[in-house]
Amino acid sequence: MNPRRDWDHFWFDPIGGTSLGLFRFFFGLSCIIGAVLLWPDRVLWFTDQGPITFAVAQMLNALGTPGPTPYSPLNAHTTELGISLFFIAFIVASLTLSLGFCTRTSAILVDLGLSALHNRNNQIINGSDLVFSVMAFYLILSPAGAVFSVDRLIRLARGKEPAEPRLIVPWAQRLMQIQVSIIYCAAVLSKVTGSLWINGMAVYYPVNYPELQRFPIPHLGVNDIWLIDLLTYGAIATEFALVFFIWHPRLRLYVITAGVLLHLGIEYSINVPMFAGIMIASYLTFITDEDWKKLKRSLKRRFAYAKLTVTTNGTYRPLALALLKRFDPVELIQYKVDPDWQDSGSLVRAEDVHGRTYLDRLVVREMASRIPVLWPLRLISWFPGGNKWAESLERSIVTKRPAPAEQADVTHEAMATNS
Amino acid sequence: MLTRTEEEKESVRDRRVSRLERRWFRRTLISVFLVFNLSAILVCLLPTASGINHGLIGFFRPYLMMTGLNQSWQMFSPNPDGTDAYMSANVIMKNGKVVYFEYPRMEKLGYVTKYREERYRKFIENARSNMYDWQPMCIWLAKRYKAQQPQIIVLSKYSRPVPPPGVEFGAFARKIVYTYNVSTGGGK
Repeated sequence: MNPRRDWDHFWFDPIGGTSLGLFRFFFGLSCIIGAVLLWPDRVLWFTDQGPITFAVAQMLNALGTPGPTPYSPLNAHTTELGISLFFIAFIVASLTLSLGFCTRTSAILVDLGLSALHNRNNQIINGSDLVFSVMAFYLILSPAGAVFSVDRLIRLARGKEPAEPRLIVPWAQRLMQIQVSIIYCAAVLSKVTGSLWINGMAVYYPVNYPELQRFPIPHLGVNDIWLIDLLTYGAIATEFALVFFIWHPRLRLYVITAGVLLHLGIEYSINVPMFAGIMIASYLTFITDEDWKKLKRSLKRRFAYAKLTVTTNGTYRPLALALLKRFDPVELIQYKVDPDWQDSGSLVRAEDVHGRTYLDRLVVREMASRIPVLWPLRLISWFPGGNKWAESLERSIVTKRPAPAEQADVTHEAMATNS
Repeated sequence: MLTRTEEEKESVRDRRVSRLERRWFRRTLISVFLVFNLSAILVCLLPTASGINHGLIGFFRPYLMMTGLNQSWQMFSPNPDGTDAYMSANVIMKNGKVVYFEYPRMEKLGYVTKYREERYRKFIENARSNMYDWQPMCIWLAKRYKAQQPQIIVLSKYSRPVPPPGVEFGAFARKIVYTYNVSTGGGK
């Protein structure tokens, strides 16, 4: 055992950025949903037209946390227009964070936005808001735009990054993971001092509290005390596992599954918006590169029947090719260049595993079926003018073969992106 | 064949050493930050009665507040809230008319509306026990009913225990928590 080496290994040994990229995507998306939910009451909760005026908010902040007063730009002068613009800016920043465009700047803006809202009215914030606040800070510190991001696509287009995503130094992601365990550790330590948690009745109360209840859990009455006990002790055991056993490589996925079930149960029975979503998204930071590879292999086997080989006698546009490959993580589509293939006016053809052949815009339709982000295109193709879209998309993916002088370079580039 | 001169080799060695040193320096800086950050969170989460929390929280608090890392995770603990409660107000106008105002109650809302308006529940959950919320709640109502010239606002809390399994819910008990005089701005 070498503490120095282990420390460096844990915090600094490079890992893949897939998990962090996905977490960033869902985090940004959750911020947008949270802001949209708050939008109708923005004036009531965050301006002096509501019950918590700026002066009251400052007093409540000072009571809650002695020391420096938390800052919020949403002050006594914030108008209806001002708060509306603030929300729009926050939603835009969340969207760019989700897409990974100007990722670090977006993360800073989202973090500042969350702080501004929480500090302006701490009487309406709940557990999920705290998770958002903490994770936003860690996203600023992390290379969250390394994978699954517009930033990466821009770097690819400029030739500043190889086709394979670069590895990331994981110390900020490790902080997120530790934060998840800290949340459950604090919750478990607090729960084991409560009599209702000890005697197994705790779950009964929140799910039967009319103000908190969402959907009823059947069979949770006087004749089913065993079920209440099971749910109560099961919740504590799962939280305990999320503190310790989630770190064990062999148990990690089982513990994450238990955590997901716990939060889906909470989401079903108790009305605490966004909490389950952000906690489940946080578990993504625990998924390793090996897990993603296994998942990819399994999906590849599962969807082997849907493989498609797309061949062009022209050339692929490097950016379009990179984009398509990014959004096809299971690699259902193979891209080939065949300069010898000649067809009457066709630029691109595709062949599926059953030997069926498709030409031109039908190729786009088949590709759209296999790439989830392109599914809306299938819908569009049913509307008038949809075929034109497919044709223009086809042209943006492949181009006619250039003059022989340029040909070698472009083909080489396409092949390199392919590999 | 291209060969490096001794000077060039020296320069390459220097660059490698310098890169290693930079990496070492950066890692050390990050490690110091990690220890500081985790210490701040642990101190923040320790019980307020503990000596460590009492002694160090003042040092860490500015960092925690600035970064949004100030946290507490007592979800349904040590025991879940066993009280079903809501708040309402009687707004007495100058002409003697009384308007009853009830802060939104989740149990009366549809699934979608209650999802969107959960913040009201959180607000009332805080306001039930936080006396500093009561006057602002009354002032807000005074502004809301300004056109009808409100004079007195009586803020009430209704509560009943969530009964154990097999027992029916009882009736709500009303408690007047705050009476606000709009014209003088005083209350008790």
